Parts: sequence; C-alpha cells; structure tokens
Amino acid sequence: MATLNIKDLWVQVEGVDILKGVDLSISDHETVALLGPNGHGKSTLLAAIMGHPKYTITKGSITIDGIDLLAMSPDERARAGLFLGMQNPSEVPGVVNSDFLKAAMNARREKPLAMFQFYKALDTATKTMKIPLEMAHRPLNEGFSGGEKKRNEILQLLLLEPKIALLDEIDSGLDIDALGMVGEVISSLQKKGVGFLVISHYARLYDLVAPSRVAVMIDGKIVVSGGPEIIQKIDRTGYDWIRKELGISIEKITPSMNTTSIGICATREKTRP
Amino acid sequence: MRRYLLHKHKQTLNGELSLLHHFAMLDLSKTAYEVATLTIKNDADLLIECGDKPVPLYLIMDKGVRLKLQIVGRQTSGDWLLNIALDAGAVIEATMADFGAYQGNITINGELFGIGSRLSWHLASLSRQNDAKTFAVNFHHKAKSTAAEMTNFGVIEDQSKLIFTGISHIYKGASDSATHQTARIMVFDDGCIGRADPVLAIDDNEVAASHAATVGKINEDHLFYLKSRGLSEQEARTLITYGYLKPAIGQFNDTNVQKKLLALLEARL
Repeated sequence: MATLNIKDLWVQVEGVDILKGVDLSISDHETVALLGPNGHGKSTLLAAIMGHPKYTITKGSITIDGIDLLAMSPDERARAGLFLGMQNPSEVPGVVNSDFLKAAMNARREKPLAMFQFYKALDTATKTMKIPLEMAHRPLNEGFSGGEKKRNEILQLLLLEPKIALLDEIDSGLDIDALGMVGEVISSLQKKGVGFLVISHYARLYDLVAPSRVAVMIDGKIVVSGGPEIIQKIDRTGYDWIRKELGISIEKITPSMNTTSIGICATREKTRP
Repeated sequence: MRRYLLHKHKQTLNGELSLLHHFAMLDLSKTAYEVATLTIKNDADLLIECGDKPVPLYLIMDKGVRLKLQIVGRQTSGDWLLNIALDAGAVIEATMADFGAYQGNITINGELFGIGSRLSWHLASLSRQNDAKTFAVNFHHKAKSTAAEMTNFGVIEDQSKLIFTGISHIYKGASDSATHQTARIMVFDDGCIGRADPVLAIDDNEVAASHAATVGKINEDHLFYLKSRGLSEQEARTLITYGYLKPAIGQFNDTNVQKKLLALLEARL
C-alpha cells in the first residue's frame, strides 16, 4: 500500500508564502478531489510534491510510504511512483514524443523495453486514447492543441502506471468525448489501485472519477475536508458559503511585480537594480 | 557512393564534379594539395569529411547547377576555411554536422556573384568539455535576385566555448535579394561561453533581410517536465541535445554516414 503524507507544508515562490501549513494524505485505491478558488495554491501544492525547482519548501514534510520525498529529485519522485498530469504541459522542441515516452518507460525498468514491446504498448495506449499513432512521432507537445496536450498527458499516465497520480486541471481544453475517455482511463487505473489527487473546477470530471474524499484549499491551507457532497455544494453555490458558514475569508493572493525587462536585442537581458 | 579524390587532377590542381560524379565523397585530410579547388559542373550531392587536418576548400558553382553539400566537421584542433562562389542560377543546400572535440576557427564564405543564385546553410554544433569553437559564416550578395538562408544551432556544456558570427552583406546593385540569419545556442552549464553576433550590411534598396539570435540556458520547465516522468538529469539533457542537433543528421544521404554521426554524437554525450 502506497501513502503520500503531507504534513504542515509551507511553500514559498520568490520569497512569498503560497502554501501555509498544508496537511493532506492520499493512499492508493482512493481518489481525493482538491478544490478551491483560482490562485489559492492548489497547483503550487502539486508542483511542490513533484519537486519543481521554482518552489521552495520552508517548513513541513512530504513522505511516500514513510520515505522522505523532499530529499529526492523530481525523477526519483517519479520513479518512487508519483505522476503529475500538468495544467500547461511544456512544449519541448526537437524531442520526439515516442523517444521521450520510451525513455520514461525505461526509467522505471531495470532492463530496457525491446522495440516491439514498446510499440505494442504505445499502439494499445494510443488506441485507448484515440490518438493517431503519428502524434507519437511529433516533437513533444510542440504545436499540439490544448486538448491534444491533455490527451498526451493521459497517454503518459496510462503507459507509466504510477502508484499515485496528481492531476492538475486535466479536463481543461478537452471536448466532451475526450473528457469521457479521460474518465474511462482514470476509472480503469482506479480499479488497478492507482491513487489520485485531482484538481478541477468542474463537477463533470468528478462525476466521472467519483472521489471518495474532498479537500478545499483557501489561501494556502486546507480549510474544509469531507465527502463528495462538498463538490455538489460548490457546484451549486460557489465558495461564498465557506465565508458565511465557517467565517473564513476568501482572500485572493496578489502576485508581486516582475523586476526583469528584456533589452533591445534577443541576446541580452537586463535586470533592474 | 564513389570516393572522389583530388589527386586525380594533378595537372591543374583542380577537380571537377562532372556528369560522372553525381554522388561524391571528398576527404579533405587526404588530399595532396595545400588548397583544394573543386568546380561543380553538374547537379550533384557531395559529402565532405574534414577529418583531422582539412585543407581549405574552394567550391566554384557553374551556372545553373544544384549541389547538396554535406559536411562532417573536423575531429581535432585547428582551423578550416570553405569558400563558395555561385554563378548565375546556381543553388547550394549545405548542412554541416560538427560534433568533434577540438579548438579552432571555422570560416565559411559564400559569394553569390551570379544573378539568381541561392545558398542555404544549416550548422549543428556541439561543444563540450574544453572545446572552443568559433564559426564565422559570411554571405556576400553581389548580384541581383540572390538569396541566402543561414541557420546555426549549437549546444554548449561544461567549460566549452561556442561563438557564431555572421555577416550577411547585400552589395550595391544586388537589389531584389534576400538574406536571413538564425542563430541559437543552448547553454547547459554556468561555465560555458556562448555568443551569437549576427550582422546585416545592406547597401541597396528593395531587399529583404532579417536576423534572430538566441543564447539562453536550457528551459527549466522543459527539464522539469522530462524529469517529472522519471528521466535523470543526464538523460533529460541528452534527449534535449539530440532533439536540437539530430535534425541535421537527417540531411545526410548516406545511412552509413548518418550512423557514424549518431555514434559520434552518442560518444560525446
């Protein structure tokens, strides 16, 4: 049994506290929904769990099966069984999607996959996702539409089969048919015991993946935890009930101004004093 | 592929690529001369191996001929010079794969003296460890309606140095010409030195000219994306470097040469 434990997690971005003491746990065989207004730290939590260098952990701990995740690099976290389905997957010019997928699958194996094994797995996964096989031979996410990028994320999820998957607004940009397919893939992985932490603003995805628990994040903290009924309540009335019923203010975080400007030539970058 | 050796042309010190040599290979470290001169008489594909001690090469393109030029960069330290002259209507598509470990200055001069001549240049260069490479790629438009496209891609790692300089000069009288430069250097480590200095000199009206230069560290989000799928830092860097430099290898006709270049790239990474 795999369990991801987050205790009193504080995270800064450029000196500003974004997460202010998050406590949360996710085990395999369960799906947790993470909701909250925009800009309150949900994506920061997922990126921090995965080890994005932009985020600085100032306090707290994250463990997987009791092992300190914060001492691991992002690739070690992935090999420990985590997967992050990103809200805005990077376009990596020149890197061919299939080369990347093969390298990612081999990173989890002692013996590299034979070519035919890889293509068999890729063929099955692309058919499940109704992705043309040619897409696997294009540069990674480059020129992909928003929906294609999200399908490619789910394709990776399917091929890599993590212990716990973190999905950050994986439903944005998907048409209704693609959303249904994503729901089916998640359901099939749930049956295999994969645990999920899912961020979405829409009840439609949650209807498909049936989370067993719900956490609501406001201003970098989990302020409400409970069952799936919370999703329906938020879908009907928004977040204002949290202020009215619980007396918790929904204060939006304002990002600080960037102090970098680009000079007149592409080769030079200036930083103001 | 036929091996074409310049010492077959001792009388003139000149070689000619004629109808007999549609596909030719020239090893510049194995010629008998201090300077090699080759006149291209007919459409051809030419593979040039710089090897260890390449002699300077002068390529003269006859009127209306088309050449696909594929160059494997030098393997040991030293300089190299390639001068290309294009007569009216001549066309060259040139690709240079430069993955060798060396320190040196490479100079490429293209003189478009014939009306309507065209030259495209694509360089892929890898600098690692103590490599120090300077590429000066200069195109001179001396006739009307000439066109040149220059693309220099580089990856630098460790303490290496890579400099791209390029002058694209459209002379007076060379109206209706077009010249474009793109230089990109991806920097992996803090100890590297990368520089791109594109220069446009325009002495006539009614021309099209542009340059773009990017020298930047590897995108942190790209690296994180690959690592978040389980690839180690080194595996991610290798994949990104391949993606940057591998397209140039696809421009080489001979699959054996492609394999050799891939092996060279793999060995250096």
